[in-house]
Amino acid sequence: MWRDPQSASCCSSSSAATPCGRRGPALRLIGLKAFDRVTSLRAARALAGLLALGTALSGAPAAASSLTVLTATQRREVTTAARPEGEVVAIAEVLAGLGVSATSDAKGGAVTLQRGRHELVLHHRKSLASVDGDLKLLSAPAVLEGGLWLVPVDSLSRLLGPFLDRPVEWRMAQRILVVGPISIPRLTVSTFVSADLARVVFEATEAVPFRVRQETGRVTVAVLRDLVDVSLPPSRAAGGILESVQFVGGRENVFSVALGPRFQKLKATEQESPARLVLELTAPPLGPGEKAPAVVPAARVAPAEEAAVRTVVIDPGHGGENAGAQGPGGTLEKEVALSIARKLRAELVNARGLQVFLTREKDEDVGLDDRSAIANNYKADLFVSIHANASRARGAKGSEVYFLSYQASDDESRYAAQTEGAAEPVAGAVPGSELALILWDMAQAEHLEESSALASRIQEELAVVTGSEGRGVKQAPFRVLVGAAMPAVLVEVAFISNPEEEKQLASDAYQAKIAASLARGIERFRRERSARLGTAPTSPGAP
Amino acid sequence: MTARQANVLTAVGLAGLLATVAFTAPRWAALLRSPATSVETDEAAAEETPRPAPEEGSAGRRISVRLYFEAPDRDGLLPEEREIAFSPDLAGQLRTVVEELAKGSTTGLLATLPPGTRVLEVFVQARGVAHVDLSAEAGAGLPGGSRAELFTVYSIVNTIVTNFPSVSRVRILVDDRPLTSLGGHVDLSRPLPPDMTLVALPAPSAEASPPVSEGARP
Repeated sequence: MWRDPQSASCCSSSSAATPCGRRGPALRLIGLKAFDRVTSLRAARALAGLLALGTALSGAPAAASSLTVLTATQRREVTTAARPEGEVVAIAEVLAGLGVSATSDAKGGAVTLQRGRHELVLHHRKSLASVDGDLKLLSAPAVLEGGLWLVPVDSLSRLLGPFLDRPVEWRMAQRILVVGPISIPRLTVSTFVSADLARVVFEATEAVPFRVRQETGRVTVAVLRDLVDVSLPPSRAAGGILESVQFVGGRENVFSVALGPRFQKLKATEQESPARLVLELTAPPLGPGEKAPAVVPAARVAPAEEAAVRTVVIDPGHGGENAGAQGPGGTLEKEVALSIARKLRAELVNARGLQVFLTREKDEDVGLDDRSAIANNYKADLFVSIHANASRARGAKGSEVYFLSYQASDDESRYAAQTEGAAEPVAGAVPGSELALILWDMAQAEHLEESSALASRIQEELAVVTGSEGRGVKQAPFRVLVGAAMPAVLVEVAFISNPEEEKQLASDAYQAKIAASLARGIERFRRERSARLGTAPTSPGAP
Repeated sequence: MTARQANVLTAVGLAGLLATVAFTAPRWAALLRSPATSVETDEAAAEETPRPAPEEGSAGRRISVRLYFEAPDRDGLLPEEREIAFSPDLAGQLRTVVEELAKGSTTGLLATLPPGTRVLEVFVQARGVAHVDLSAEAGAGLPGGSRAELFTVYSIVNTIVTNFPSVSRVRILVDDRPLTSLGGHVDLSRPLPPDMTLVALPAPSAEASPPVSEGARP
């Protein structure tokens, strides 16, 4: 009396790529070799069920797509269907060839899938399933439709990991369900772009064959493996050397690195441990008086910028309770930063006639967002945050100048596209809401070109004093730069954690040297900008 | 499997269903009451067995992961391969990975998480965003300085994204709260993508590796 009226087997041949509709594919689904006796005895009824299942899926709305099931021995495409609650897939198709048998209960209200000693129970129109007695919450109810048990795609890994007793991973971006353990090389791509150099790093979890080709206007990088996983955050064009990095895909897993008008030379280097490929794209050095072309983000017209730099806001890092880093000899970053900031102010005001404000005049803490808000309030033309660096590595030394790494999420890109031409953020507005935050982010994003140029000039001058050519200009998502609506950089003048540099930083004379070099860098940027914007009409996009 | 076994299984399945309903009614009810959004089902599902021990359900299986620590002699992060306990659910697996990071290196690299840092919670949202909730030591124990802070943040982000491609960005929380930064530098108000430019360049001796095919110039 416990005999179930319906019994559908989840076993099928590996050719389930085509939705089983007609007799042929349906018959192939009953590949007997993986079947046990019970299910094969009931093949006739199962066949009827599967036929119905096939039509249920193939008859689904046009939105039907597919996912790839990848195991150590096979790779199959499985049809999925879009439903109002989300995307669903027939669990039988996903499990095909994995030696799973299924038993439905009398009323078709539940199905028990069995594999070895593991058991998975689904209930019709219930979001709760159980694996070996443990409850699993699905993102949408499982449903029995035309004899097929449909489950939400994004719940597969949660259900199948424990059921199959092996790692099961749903890779949303590639639409691959990896039924492990399988070794798939993973590539993480990062870009760094400054005024003179762009670097694209392809880091792999295992050695993979790269093939680099230089073509007209682009460099292609192929990764010659069956399957790779790619992490490629959206990058932003800057500097006119590198326009974009995109994953084209295809059988050879091709990346396309689009080159900008200032690109001159490619250097590709492969490295081991970690395995990676580094592309270095360089621009020709600028001759004296030559102006760096302004590269404007494609969909946006740069605001007409005032050529003259009149007001500079200097931000001495940390303060008050927040002492920042402390040197081995006890020197405090907050004190060094304030002292250098005061000396820089004197340089800029006395020798160059600029208007200068400090975000803090004394030993007090100021919020990170308040610091950039102060610069916005003064309508500053430049924002320079001054810090001293620290590292766990004892030998770390030298100066670094950072500008903001800006990587918009998809949401924000879309939002930005919708709000083209929206009003500039009001100076002083506190970025409390998501909306305000996005607008503020966009504010610095528009100045990245100039922030990069300012960072380069300051670093060049600073390196003369600190002798640290190696470190150079860097990019990082530093909070204090996010809200600045003007070219903005963060200067790490030297490593206070390094005993030698700490001694120097504590000295008045050395601080004065650093301040003077910062002032020279600012002055060079100021002259270049005046030359560029003063002579050239604002014609966005012109190289 | 024999026919008899299958029948027994059917019986067990149905009995199991009844038993499940009968014995777990309060848990079902509780789960149904909680507004389980599709976004955080991992969380809801985890409530039934809070903080699963790493070895739970994994039958001693181990997986190999790549952890990023700070290089002692160069500027940047370096990877270290390590075998860790396998966990069937992604959030649990991420948790063990960050806990391994917190243990520090076994190959002489520098630990990037301050001593005493604990992993309070890890959950994964739709769209591939992992949230890692750390104890307060993560911020309080930093040596100060942006370089150290960058390495702390990106040792976590790069490690997670490199090992788990279904995660594309990582958001770091401290004591269950969002924060602007760990130590006054890196913006943590939003999820971060990985940054592989922070991985150390090879030691100068290895720098002479020949450039790969530059292809034919058009």
